[in-house]
Amino acid sequence: MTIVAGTETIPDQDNPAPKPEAPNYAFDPRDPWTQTFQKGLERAELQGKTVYEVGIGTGINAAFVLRFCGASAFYGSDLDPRLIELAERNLASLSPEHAGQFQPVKGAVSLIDTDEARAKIAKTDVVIACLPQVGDPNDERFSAFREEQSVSLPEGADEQAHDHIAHYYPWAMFDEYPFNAVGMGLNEALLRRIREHAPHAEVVMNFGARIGTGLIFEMFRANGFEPEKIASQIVRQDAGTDISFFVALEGALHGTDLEREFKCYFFADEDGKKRLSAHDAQRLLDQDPDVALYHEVCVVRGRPVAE
Amino acid sequence: MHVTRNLDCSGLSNASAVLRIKQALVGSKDGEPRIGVLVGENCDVERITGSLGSAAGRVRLMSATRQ
Repeated sequence: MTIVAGTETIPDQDNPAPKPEAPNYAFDPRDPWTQTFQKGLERAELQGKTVYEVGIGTGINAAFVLRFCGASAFYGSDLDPRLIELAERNLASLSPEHAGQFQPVKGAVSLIDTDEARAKIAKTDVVIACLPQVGDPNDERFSAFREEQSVSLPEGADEQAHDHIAHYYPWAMFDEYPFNAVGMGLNEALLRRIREHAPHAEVVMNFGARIGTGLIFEMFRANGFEPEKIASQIVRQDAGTDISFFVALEGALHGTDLEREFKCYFFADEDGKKRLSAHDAQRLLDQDPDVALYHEVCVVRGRPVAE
Repeated sequence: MHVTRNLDCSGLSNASAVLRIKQALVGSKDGEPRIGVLVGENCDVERITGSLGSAAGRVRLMSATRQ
């Protein structure tokens, strides 16, 4: 049985593995981000635990965690209400014997901002999530900031794909959170909600480490979690995801005393040895939109620190 | 000149704090009330001020201190 391409189990030829239903409004479960996330979930010691996924997508992680990680129960929700229905269907086809352990929170749920979601979070041992870390290119405030740095929006970057909300978040809406400055506002908002409603819960979160893992760790510590990287992989930068957000961040520090203290982490090779700044990466993209660029995806476990 | 708005930069490094302040200042003009900015105890207020250049006059930096 295989859950997605990239897992190590081999399908039985007489009983081909069922494939997840993956419509265009859902994050593609074959994406290497999912592979990396599942490597981290395997190492997250989820046996017997109650797990809640914020942003359940296709439900591929629900099936994986229940089937291969031994979780006792799985809650999940999503901002797009179609996805929780999709997750139920996928779990029923991929791992029917575990379907009874899945308790969906239906409807459109932003982070954990409904009574039902908060009630389930309060009973959760481990919260898992892979949330967008790039401001929406169409966000008015972000556009103004980008223009102030003389960074132009690449052609087509303002067009919304069907799975737009899986890649970008409404940047200005999360401006109350300090780490929104580097694209982590949505993730920081979730960490704060977890501290409030499930103070003993661990978190396991998947990140594109384009701002560097050091900054991601700073966010965890600033919000009361001790971080640990439990999986990592160099993946190809998604050709459809705009990186002008990162270029603008570097541009805002250009010529200052702090310029050297913030450089993004892109790579020209799949081994992650030839580092590029966002500025360099954008220049290569401008020359050839199909150029292969890479960045790290990593899974970070955060354990709550006693106050 | 008085302060009418506050910006929380606690937990951020010097560079991230400068980014947040510059983002907050987008669209603001000289002569508008200054923004009060709370920076973490590990931040170097002088370096942040220097990196803000002429925009430094539009904010008032306050450093959090350990209780």
